[in-house]
Amino acid sequence: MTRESIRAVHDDDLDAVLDRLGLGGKLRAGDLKCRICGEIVTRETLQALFPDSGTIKVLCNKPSCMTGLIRGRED
Amino acid sequence: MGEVLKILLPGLSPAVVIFLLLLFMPEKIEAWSALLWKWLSRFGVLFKHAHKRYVKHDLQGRINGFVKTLRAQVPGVAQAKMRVDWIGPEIERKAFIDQGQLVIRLRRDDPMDRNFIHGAYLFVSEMLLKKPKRYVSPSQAEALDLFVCGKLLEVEKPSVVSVFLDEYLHPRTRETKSKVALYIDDFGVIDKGGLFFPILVQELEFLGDKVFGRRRDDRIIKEVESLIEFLRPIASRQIGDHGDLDHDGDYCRFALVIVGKPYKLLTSIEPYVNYIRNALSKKDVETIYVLGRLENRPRLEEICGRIKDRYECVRQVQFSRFLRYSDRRELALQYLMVLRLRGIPIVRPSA
Repeated sequence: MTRESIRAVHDDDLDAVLDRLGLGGKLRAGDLKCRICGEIVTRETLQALFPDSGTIKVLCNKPSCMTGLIRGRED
Repeated sequence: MGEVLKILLPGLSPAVVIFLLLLFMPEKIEAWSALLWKWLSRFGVLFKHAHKRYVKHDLQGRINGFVKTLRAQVPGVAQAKMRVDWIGPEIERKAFIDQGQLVIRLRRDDPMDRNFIHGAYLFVSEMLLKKPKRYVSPSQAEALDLFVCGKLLEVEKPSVVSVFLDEYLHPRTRETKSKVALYIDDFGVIDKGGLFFPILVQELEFLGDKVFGRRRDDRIIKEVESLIEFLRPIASRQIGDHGDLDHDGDYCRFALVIVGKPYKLLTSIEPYVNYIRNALSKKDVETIYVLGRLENRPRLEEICGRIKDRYECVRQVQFSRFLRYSDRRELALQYLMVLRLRGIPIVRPSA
């Protein structure tokens, strides 16, 4: 049986990972918007990160944004 | 194997028990270890990484446990075993972009267990149902994701089902004309009749295995729709009802043979063999699902043995489902044999 992985970041590492990816400052400044709903993403509402056309986009914690992203990836 | 272990375990030493469980039921061990890590995570300073381990093993153990049971019904659909890979401060921006994967956040403060819901939904939609969803419409795909994720949560973590319903399912099914809502209702009926995983998802998986030259996506989507419409009344029919059991589509060509009529079984299996040979085989039906009560298993195997030159038995599945009579419902053990036409081409040309 093959194994497939879900990639995840735990809260303990979140700030360090965001800084490493160049997103920490933008998040603190309120410059990150959810790729699906367009709302400003805060540290509290950040739910996912993904690469898109050479940049890194974020998702907020609304389940509709997660399902919307997955639908978009399938289309 | 689980049943055999339950009989053997009480008489064995603890070390042998642990060894056997690790060998045959690793997902159970993983789920138990998650509980240990959860307890240790209360002592935050002493066991700093315990919460991370709890989240990882809880997701892996439960989801892979579900996959294992599903594999008995639809082996192809559940080939992927899930693993959580953490990304940490060592990650490089370029590597992150090159890997092209979604990374979800799993929280330390998670009283409603949303970590599990997010992980399960991502696994179901991106890995478990990848092949069956290859040719379906976006609303069919979303309905499949939501329905199967709901089934997984019902079995593996019932405590989070209400959160999943409130946050994932209801928002997508609230509108009365929502296609997703209609498909989920259809899946519910088909599943109640015991045919969701062993036949519907199996047919979608067979479809996903094919390669079409100049395929017409709109026609495939319509055919998936007709497949669902075809299975819905079969799943809810009463004993004694008659109706067409052949689905003769361009892309999904299968038939259901229900071996149940006692007067036929008592006299001879010839009517079933002749029907398969003369009606189904001549139409090049690709998959035949031969279904009957578990106690009739020898007769079903005899029928399938008689046509093995033309059809290969790829799977036998035992499951229970409610049979509907005019005055009652009866939970019955069922036996299903899945037969595939020999020599089906992988590439299907347009003409």
